[in-house]
Formats: sequence, C-alpha cells, structure tokens
Amino acid sequence: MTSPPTLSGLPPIHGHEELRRALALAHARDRLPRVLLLHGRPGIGKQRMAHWIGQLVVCVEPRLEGPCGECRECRLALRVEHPELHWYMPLPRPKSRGSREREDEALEEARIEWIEEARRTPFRPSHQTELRGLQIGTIRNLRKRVGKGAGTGGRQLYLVADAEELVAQEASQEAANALLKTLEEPPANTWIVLTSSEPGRLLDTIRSRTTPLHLTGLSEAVLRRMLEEEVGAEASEAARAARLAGGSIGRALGLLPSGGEPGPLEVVRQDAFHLLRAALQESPGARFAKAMSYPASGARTLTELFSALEVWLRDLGAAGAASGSAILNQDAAPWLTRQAEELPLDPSGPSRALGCVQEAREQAAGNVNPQLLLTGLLTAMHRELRHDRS
Amino acid sequence: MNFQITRQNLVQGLASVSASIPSKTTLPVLSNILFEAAPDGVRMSATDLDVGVRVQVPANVSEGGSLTAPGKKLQEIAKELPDQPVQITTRGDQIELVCGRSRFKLNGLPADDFPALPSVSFDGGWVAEGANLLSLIQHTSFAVSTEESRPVLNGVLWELRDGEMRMVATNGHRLARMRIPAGPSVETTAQLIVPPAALDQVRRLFKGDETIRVGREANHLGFRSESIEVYTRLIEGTYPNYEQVIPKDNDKHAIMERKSLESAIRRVAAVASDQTHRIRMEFSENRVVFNVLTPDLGEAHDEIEIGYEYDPIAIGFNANYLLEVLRYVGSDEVKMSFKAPERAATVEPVGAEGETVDDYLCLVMPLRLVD
Repeated sequence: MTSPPTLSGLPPIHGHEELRRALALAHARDRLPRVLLLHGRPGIGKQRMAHWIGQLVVCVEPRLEGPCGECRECRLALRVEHPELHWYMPLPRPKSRGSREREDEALEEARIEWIEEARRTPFRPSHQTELRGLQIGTIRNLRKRVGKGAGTGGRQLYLVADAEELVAQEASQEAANALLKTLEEPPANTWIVLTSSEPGRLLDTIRSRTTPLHLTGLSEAVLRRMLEEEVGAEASEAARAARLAGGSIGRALGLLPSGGEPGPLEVVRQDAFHLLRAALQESPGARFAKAMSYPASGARTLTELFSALEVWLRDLGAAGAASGSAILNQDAAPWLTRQAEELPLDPSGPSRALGCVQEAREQAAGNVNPQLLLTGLLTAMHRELRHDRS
Repeated sequence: MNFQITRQNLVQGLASVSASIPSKTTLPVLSNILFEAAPDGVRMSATDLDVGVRVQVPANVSEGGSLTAPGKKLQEIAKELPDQPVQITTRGDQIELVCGRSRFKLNGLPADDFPALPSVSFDGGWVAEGANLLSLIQHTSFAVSTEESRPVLNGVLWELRDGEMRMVATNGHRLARMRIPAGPSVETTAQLIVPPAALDQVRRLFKGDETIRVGREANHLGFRSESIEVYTRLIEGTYPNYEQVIPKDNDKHAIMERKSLESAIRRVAAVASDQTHRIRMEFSENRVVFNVLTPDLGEAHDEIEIGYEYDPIAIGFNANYLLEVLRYVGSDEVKMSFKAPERAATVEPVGAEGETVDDYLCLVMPLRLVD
C-alpha cells in the first residue's frame, strides 16, 4: 500500500447523490425532517452522510446541491470540530463503574477519545474487536446536552451511530426508552440523525419516531477509486477489495492488507471459508471441531463472520449455476466450481443455507454460546447443502 | 499581534478565564484561550460552550491581532515566570512568550476557529449590586438538581418582579429561596433559568463592591463589569410553580442552636442508611430526640435542647439535605417549622432577638418513617 494523502477530519463524501440532492432541497424549503433514520449495510457511509446533513444544517450559505463547503461552519464540520454537531456512538461498557455520575463521565471521556481517533483516522474499516453498546449513560449525556439547547449558531444536530446498539439485547431496552422523549419532541432548531445497519433491531417506538431513508452501497468503480486515490491502496489490492466489499467502503478498508498483514476482514473472510468447508464435509467431527475452535462467549461479535459466510454461500450458488464471473471470491473460484461439480450439492441448497445463517445471526444478538451456535449452524448448513434432510 | 504585559496581569487574566476551559472536550479549540490585542489592552476569552468568560487586562499593545493558545500550558508557564514584563508575539499560528531570559513557543489555533461568545446588549438590561447578587447565588445555587430528566431544575430560577430580585433552586426534595429588594434601577421583570456553572463564575470573578450590569439576548444572559464579562446559555423551559410547594400553614416552630443541631445530625447520620440517609427527629417540649435504626448496621440516639412549645411530633429527614441547608443558613439560631410528618418543613435563619432575618427560606421534604 502506498502512503495515503494526509487527511484529518472527515473523508470526502461519495455516492448517494440523489438522496443528497433531495435532502438539500428539503432543507432549502425548511422541510428537512427533524429525526432521520439512515439505514443500509455496514460501512456504506451512513455516518458520513449524517455528518453531511449536519454540515448542511449549520452551513451559513447552503446551496441547492448541499452545503457550501467553504464557510467557517463547513470547515469546522469537516474537521469534526463544530460545536453544534454532536456525535454519539456505541462504546465499550466502562470498566470501573461507581456512581451513575462516574459512569456517565467515563462514557463521555471514552466518546471524546473515540472522536479524536476518528479525526486522526478518517478511513476506518467496519470491523469490531470488542463488544460495544449505546449505554444508558451515553444517552443520559446526550439528553443533558440536548436540554441545554443550541448555542450561538442557533442550530444543532445529534448523530447517534449504530442505533441498533440501543437495544443490546431484548431484555435491556433502557437506553432506547431513555431516548424516546428526545426523539418525540426535539427542541427547536435541533435535528437528530440515527444510523443503523440492522433497523429491525430498533424498538418499534424508536422507528415510528423517525423518517427512514435507505442508503444503497457504493459502486465498485467508486470504491476502487476511493481506495486508490484517497486511501493510497495499490491498484490490484483496491480492485480485489472493491469487488469483495459489496458496496461498503468500510468492508473494503478491512479487506486491504495493513502493515504487511492481511486486513482484519480478510482474516474473517478466510475464517468464513473454513466454516463453509467444514459445513460441506461429511464428518460431523470436523464440523464440531471447527465450532469448538471459537471462544465460548461473545456471540455478538460474530456478525462480520456471518456476513462473510453469506458471501461465500452466494458464491457457491453462483458456481453451481455455472456463473463463474459472478463469483466475488475469485481467488477461490476453482475450488467453488469443483465443489459444485464434484459434490452432490442440492442446487437450492446455498439459498436455504443463507436462511440458516440469518437465523444464527438473530440468535447471536441474544448472546448465546458461540460454540453451540456454530455447531448448530454448521449442521444445518450441511443438511441444506448436501440435501441430507433426514 | 505583539504586546507587553506584566507577569501579574498575565497570571490574573489567565486565572480568570481558565476556569471556563473544559477539562475534557471533543473540540480542541476549547482547550485554548482567545487573545485579542487592541490599542486599549488585551482581551482574553475562554468558553466551554455553556459559559464564556472574557476579561480585559492592561497591556502595551504595539500590534493588534488575535490568536488562540493552549490555556493550561500558558497558565503553567506564566506561574513560573520571573517577575518581569512579558513580551507576547504571534508568528503564524504560534504564540511566543519572552520574559527575561525565558522564551517559549506554543502552537495555537486560528482565532476564527474559536466559538463566538454570545453578543448580548446590556442597554435594555438591569444593574445588580455585587454583594446582593453574590449573596443570592451563594444561598441558592447549591440546591439545584443534577438529574438530567428535568432540565429546568438543573438551573437556578432568577426572578425580577414586584421590586424584588429572587433566586430559587430545587431538586424536588429540598428547595432554597432568597429574596432581596431589587433597588430603584431595576424596572424590568424577568424570569430566567440560569445554569449554576455560570453563577459559580459570577461569584468567583465579580466582587461584592462592584456594580454588575446584566443583559439578556434571546436565550443568553450576560454579566459585565468594567473589565470582566460572563456569558451563559439560559435553560429553556418553564420553572415549576415553587410558591405552591412552600407551606404557608406550618404551625409548629422549633428554635434551635444551629451548631448543636448540625453536630447532632452529623453524629447520628454516621449510622444512617447509605441510600436514604434517613434520620428520625422527635420534637417534644423544649427538646428534640434523634434516632437512627439501620437494620444491617446498628442504631444511634442523641438529643439536644431547643425552644419548642407545641404538640409532640416525629418527622423523618434525609440528613444530608438538612446538613446542606444548615450550612447555608448562616445565623447562630435557626427556626424550623412544620405541621405534620408527611408535610414539607422549612428552615429559616433567626436573628439575635429571635426574629427571622433576611428573606431566606429553605424547604426540606420529609421521609416516611418506616416504624
């Protein structure tokens, strides 16, 4: 990878042109909804879009196509230093919890550190290494800030990223409930933008208070250009990552090698490949051994593994349909084709196996034992792929 | 920008504004102090976006200009400088300090990045005597709520009406109210909810013998003397009708020596529950008995002599609330009034002749006695 251009603050925004035009027009007509829900796959730029809306809201001379990009407010917004644009995100639960006040302070400090890191690293892979949540303390801090009203600029925007983390588990809805009143009646000149890659996990009461906007993935060409020109990736690596990323810049970044090592999502991709291989094997022992190679806790961190597994199943389906060019994991195309030809695969097996992964994904949100979850998943996948439905 | 300033003025100016610098912030420029040099001196400003402070300090300015520089570092440096004039200049986004043989260069940020302090006109405002304003703040701001669920209770209500200036604060469990004649210069009426952090700055920066101008613009309030300005956002919303909760018919009155009362409460509170801090006070003829019973810890008993000539009554209180109120009442004797165990009690200062002094009243809600 060549050196990326020096950048501090937000990366340039790409794609979603039509949506941006519509939002700018709504703002010009003073009809921009007060509470928005931007949803779409992980890493496709939902938070970047929310920042763009923030910039639009505070811009002194917004144009029909969006914020001017030149005024002081725009400059500060692009550096993530605007005093009226507030960014809240899921954070790990503070280790040393004492009183409620101390917990809130710890979360605020963690948020500040997170934003400082985001400023220093504008291009971050969509990859989580630890459990994070939108804790009740974070929402208390947000409400305190909202309660103070807008400052001298007169308009403020709150970005609540990965809002599905408001409900870490079905039984813990306190953070989501704490946000309801703020969403119901935002103060004057206040906008709130939630982003989510799993809007189904949001409470109905949250969803009903928002105006949902769906964001689609970025084109492969746009991703490749971003990776080459803005991130400084080599052309071949950029092309490979862009192809595998499914329109997500966050995924593409995670697939790029980093410091001579495979990127974190490349590791996940390879891990998912081994899961698929285990699912196809006849021996139940091999499947069990693979499932037992995972830790016994932390099922919620398996989301990326399931996403990668879905891509492999999709590719297996493409290989079975003799659509070699549609295979995304081109480095494994011969193996996939061989599996499709040599093994007695049920043609509709991959699509049914995708349903098993979806089911496992939902169970993982309930924080079950990952080893048991994967044992069950591999058995179910084997049954669907090999048409062994006994 | 180029100016010379005495070390003392530099230290004072920095100390005045630096309390407004947030200890942790998402915005790097808020860790900085804004310097604005003009022919009549240097203005230093700092803000945490809720409260902003600007001071004007004398300096020989040879070249005007502005820049922001890291506040805490400047303060650390200025404290250690020799007692000699300090020459301060800017080169690009760097600020340079030269004092004797000491020389420092610090990286700054452009003045344009610094959030503008609210522009408040003082023309339609009013004037408060420093001593009065500081007394109102001192006696009430301790009682504000820290719960975020009702933002209006996070501020001190400042009312101007009926020729009076009043401040009120409450967290729903205890309340403090003070009234002072507003003086002939105050003709306006107002009802403002002011964050206690701003009032803390006012109390810290203004002196009792100063005349303080107060101005309001939209949802901002400004305090100004000759060289100091404090600005704050106001808390929006309607303050609850506090008059309704202040009992008018408390018909039992106990006159107590404040220090004895404080000591007794402190003694028995040591055994009270960490959650409720509940103590039981039994008033009977000329004495009050304190009892605390905490099942998993133990019990405490104490009593003091008081002036009380009414029917016996037992009331439960949060000891912390009582102690807090007593700390601010100030007089040697206090009058505690109540009617029934489930009704609010009031505490007022008492003068040497036995009459209540100042128009200061604190209210404390009782706790249910479980026995």
